[in-house]
Amino acid sequence: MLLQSWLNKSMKVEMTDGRTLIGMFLCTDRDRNVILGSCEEYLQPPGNEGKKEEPRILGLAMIPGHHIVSIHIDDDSKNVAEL
Amino acid sequence: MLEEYESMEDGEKKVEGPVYNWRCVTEEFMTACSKLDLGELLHDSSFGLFEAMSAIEMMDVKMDAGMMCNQIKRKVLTLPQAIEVTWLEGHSLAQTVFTNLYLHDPSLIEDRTMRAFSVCMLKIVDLIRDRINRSGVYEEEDFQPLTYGFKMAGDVTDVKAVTAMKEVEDELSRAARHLKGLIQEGSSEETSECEGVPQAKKLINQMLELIKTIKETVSLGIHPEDREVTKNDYPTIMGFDPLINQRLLPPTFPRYTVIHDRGEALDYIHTLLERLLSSTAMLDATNIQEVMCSENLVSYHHVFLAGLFCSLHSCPQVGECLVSIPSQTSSRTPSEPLTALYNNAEVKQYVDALVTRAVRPVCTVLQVLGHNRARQRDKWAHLLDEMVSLQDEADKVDGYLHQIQMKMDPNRQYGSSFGTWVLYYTLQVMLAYTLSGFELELYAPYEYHYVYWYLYELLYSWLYSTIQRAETFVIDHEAFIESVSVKGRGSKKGKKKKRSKAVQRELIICQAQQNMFGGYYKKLKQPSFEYDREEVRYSHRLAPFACVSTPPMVPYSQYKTQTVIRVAKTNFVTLKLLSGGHKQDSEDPPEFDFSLHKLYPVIKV
Repeated sequence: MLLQSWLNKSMKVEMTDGRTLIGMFLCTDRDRNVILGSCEEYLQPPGNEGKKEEPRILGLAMIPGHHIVSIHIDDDSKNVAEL
Repeated sequence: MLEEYESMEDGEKKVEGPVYNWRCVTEEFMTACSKLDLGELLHDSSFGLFEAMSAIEMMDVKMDAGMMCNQIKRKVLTLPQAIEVTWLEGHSLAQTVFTNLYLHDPSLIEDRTMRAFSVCMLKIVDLIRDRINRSGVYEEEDFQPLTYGFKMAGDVTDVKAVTAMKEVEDELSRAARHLKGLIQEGSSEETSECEGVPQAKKLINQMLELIKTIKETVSLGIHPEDREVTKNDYPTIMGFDPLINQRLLPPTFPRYTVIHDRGEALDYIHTLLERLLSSTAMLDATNIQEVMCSENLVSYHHVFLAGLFCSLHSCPQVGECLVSIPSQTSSRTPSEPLTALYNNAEVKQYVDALVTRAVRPVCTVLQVLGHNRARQRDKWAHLLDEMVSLQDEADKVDGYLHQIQMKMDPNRQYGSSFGTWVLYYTLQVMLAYTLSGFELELYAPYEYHYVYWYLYELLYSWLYSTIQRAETFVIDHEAFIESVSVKGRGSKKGKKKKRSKAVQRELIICQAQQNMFGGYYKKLKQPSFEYDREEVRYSHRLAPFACVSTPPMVPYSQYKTQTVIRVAKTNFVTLKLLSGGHKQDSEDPPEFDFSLHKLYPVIKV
């Protein structure tokens, strides 16, 4: 299953207020609530040209589904479970 | 240290430095999710519901400190003083004072005025921090002592800073003089806890004057632009950057701190100074009771700082009071052993040991008053344990002294002075504990009944008899001394009269309070407990008292039998009122209104 294969991969979630969270995808449900582990918060979308922003470390964070604007998955990062 | 921290962080970054290859999966994700069943959680075997529960909920007003809507409310950032006030109220140093870039390294500033000013600010912050650390009456939520490795201008002496300040005083506005005053006040306290106070008092008065001028001139000078705050621009004036120290903060730290505006800050400093002034008056108090009394008054204002300075002032004095016990009589302290008995080496040893042992708990009594209200209650309960063991020891010493006394002079009775003395403090602590429940609004209206009963029937009546007993001891003892010393010094008589006057006053206050609570208790109807067990509540409320042997905990059953008699009386009074046609059509029970006073409510029928 698609969702299953994304578990433990790095995920980038953009929220309705413009912040971006990057962390390990751990859990989700039908309402698209997402839990990210070792989560970092960026005020601006990272990868923007300009100076690099220092993230704030949040740890375990749950993002309510209705606050999610977009989701990106990291194709390169290896599945931790496989290692 | 700062550099160390930075280099460490750099190192971490190099280790991480992941390069992501992001692919947008929003649509796929959404559809995949909608295929899940209601309530079904998709997760790895290692991740359970328990872990899920501990996650921070984003966009939740309480949990998400970095939420964008949390930032918009931010107030205008201004004078260093405003920032200092915010720090004093318990925010992190890095988020407040050190948002002023000038303070990071004042020696680099070329402008003489600015440099002196900055050094002074640092000095003041350091002094205050030192004070607060030493008095030890804060908890993490009240005050954050971390300095994040900033240099507090330790290389510049107080005197040098003050002179530098003096030089620029003529050029600069009066704010400079105000600042100078503050630093002098701090250092005068530093040098001599007690002797410096009159000088400090004078300085405080001067500063109060200056505050007025500063208030009038606030509108001058640079101002931050008025504009809507959005996520990346902050209203700021030259030299300030609110995010400068973001990296130094721990991860879960609230990201944004609201800083007071100048007007509010000056008001705050004004009240602070006034409170300091009133706390200096306390040094004139001759005994512990007066100190406690005024301290209570001051710290009722809920600002822990005031209490804090109080305890700083009084702590050395308490030590003094205690040390002087054997040689000098203070109203409640045992005077017994002073003559023949105290010359006995073994007695001296016992008494000294007890007094040394007592210093800590009794000092703690004062120190606790410096804490914020909610903390105080915990501390009182905790302190009771210590009082119990102290009571034990005091009783032992009393017993021993009694034996010696009997051997030396069987005609004279030795009273249990030390035991009484400790009991007095134990009762004070118990009272403080019980009364704090009212202030913190812990008691539900149906609990008033037994709380008042306990205050009236037990605590205050014990306190009254304790004070009375102590007074009898002192009077007996003095009569004895006078009968022994043929010379009979006249000066001593006046002193005695003055003392017993203070005791008399305390007795009356104690009695009045007892009667007040008695009145409330009798006025209350026995609450009905249909689905509840009053006994459980009763035991829970008074649980900390269970460990105290004197006075013993009054069991619930006794309260119950007492109430039966009271109920008849209470009903009689209420019925008489009602039969007189008072509030005939009202079906509401009498209400208690605490708005006028925290402890004595106004009864509304």
